[in-house]
Amino acid sequence: MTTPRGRASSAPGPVDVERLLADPGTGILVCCGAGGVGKTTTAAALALRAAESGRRVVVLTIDPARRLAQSLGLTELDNTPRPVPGVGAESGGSLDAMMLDMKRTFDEVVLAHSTPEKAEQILANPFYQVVSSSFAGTQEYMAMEKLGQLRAEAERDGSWDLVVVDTPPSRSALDFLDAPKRLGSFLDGRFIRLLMGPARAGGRAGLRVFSFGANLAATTMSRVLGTQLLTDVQTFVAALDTMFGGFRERADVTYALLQDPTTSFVVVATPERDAMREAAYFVERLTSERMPLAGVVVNRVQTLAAPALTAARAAAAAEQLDEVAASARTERRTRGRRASDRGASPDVADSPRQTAALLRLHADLAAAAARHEGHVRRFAAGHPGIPMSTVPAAPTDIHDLDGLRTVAGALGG
Amino acid sequence: LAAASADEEAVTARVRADLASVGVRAAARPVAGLLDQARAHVARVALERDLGDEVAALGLPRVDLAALAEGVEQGGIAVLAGELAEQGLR
Repeated sequence: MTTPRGRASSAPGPVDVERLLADPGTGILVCCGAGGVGKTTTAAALALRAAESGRRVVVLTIDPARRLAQSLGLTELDNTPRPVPGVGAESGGSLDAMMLDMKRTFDEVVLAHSTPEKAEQILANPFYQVVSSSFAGTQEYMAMEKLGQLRAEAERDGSWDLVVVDTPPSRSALDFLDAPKRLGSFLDGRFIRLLMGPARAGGRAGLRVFSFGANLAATTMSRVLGTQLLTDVQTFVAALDTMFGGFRERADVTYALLQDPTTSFVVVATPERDAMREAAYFVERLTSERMPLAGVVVNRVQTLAAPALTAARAAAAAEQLDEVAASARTERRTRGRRASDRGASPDVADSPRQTAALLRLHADLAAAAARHEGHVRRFAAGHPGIPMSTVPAAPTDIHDLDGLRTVAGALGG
Repeated sequence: LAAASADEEAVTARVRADLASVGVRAAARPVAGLLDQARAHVARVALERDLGDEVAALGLPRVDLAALAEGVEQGGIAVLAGELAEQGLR
């Protein structure tokens, strides 16, 4: 490759998916964007396309829609990549898919970073059980962690040459990037220090004053929270603290991996203001963090099957046809229930009304199409040089391999 | 609109005649496009209905909120709140 990814010429056009996926230098693809924009579908489509062009791919999905999961052979949430049957046989590629199990991934990290007794203590801790399954940012962190693991596995035994990751359905697309730091600062934070005070400072003379303050805080908190919970929290944090280095270190390694030239980000959006704004933040953030951006994918863009007919023209014609239909009805009524009239097919009599409905639908779609195009254009104008692909809105949800192939085809422009 | 999938040629001819009667000159292709759009819409509505049935099968109270083309800004939230209240959610 002669030009660095993400810095194409002034009129970059669509994301060069073909080149991106064929490039052996692409080792990790991260699909990110706001919640509900089709990240999982995009990740699956890219992974499938790569597998069918000869790559050995593993795709990490997070919370896929049920039918999509089934089509990828993901029937259980077991954190294990499994082959998607019948993919890539002709090209020599392969596709494995997995669903992230956040809790299990957290457990694995704990097991890997502490002694067996300590691990057991942590895993049994009620506070840990809550944090590992619901703490804000845990899912993002665990997705990062899993990405690191898959990558390490791929390098160790050469099972995959491309890892495609979906990112959690966060409120903000940036959460994924911030997860390692956030977990770090949580463990490093004042609240935790305060809790740690009595558990850790006990017996150290120099810290007696602090310890007194911390004890006071702890006493107050135990009154509010209940002694058992506080004890659980303290035990948990004390245990976690011993692996803190491990956590932070791994987070740093994963973060560095994201800056690696073999990594490419695909920012996913829908042609709506909020999603496009998230995409813009993400693009800017990736640039400032020097993370390689392959381009932006805009999903669910309304396209028209009769583009020449404008919304206004269609709406006006629909109104006229409604008048025709109304006067035809009146006429039928005034002519009464003559026998000859009964023979007429109701379909034909209803024709103007139905055609009006077609036109009205077209007017709505044309308005949506214009709005979508406006969002895409504004984004492109605000972010020159960034490749951008649009995927037409499908009438129903994408839930099988053929649907994913169609999406992948559209991605390539 | 389900009738739109009936007899392709006859329907196309009728739609073209209707369009011509109000001064829209349309070739066969745009008319086919209009019909494709209608079919896609029918599929969409059918899917929504099927999924709606799944929700109904749960036997829980249900309210429907309209899609907001412009997103939740500029009063969108208030519109949704109004709809919720109208449908009896207090």
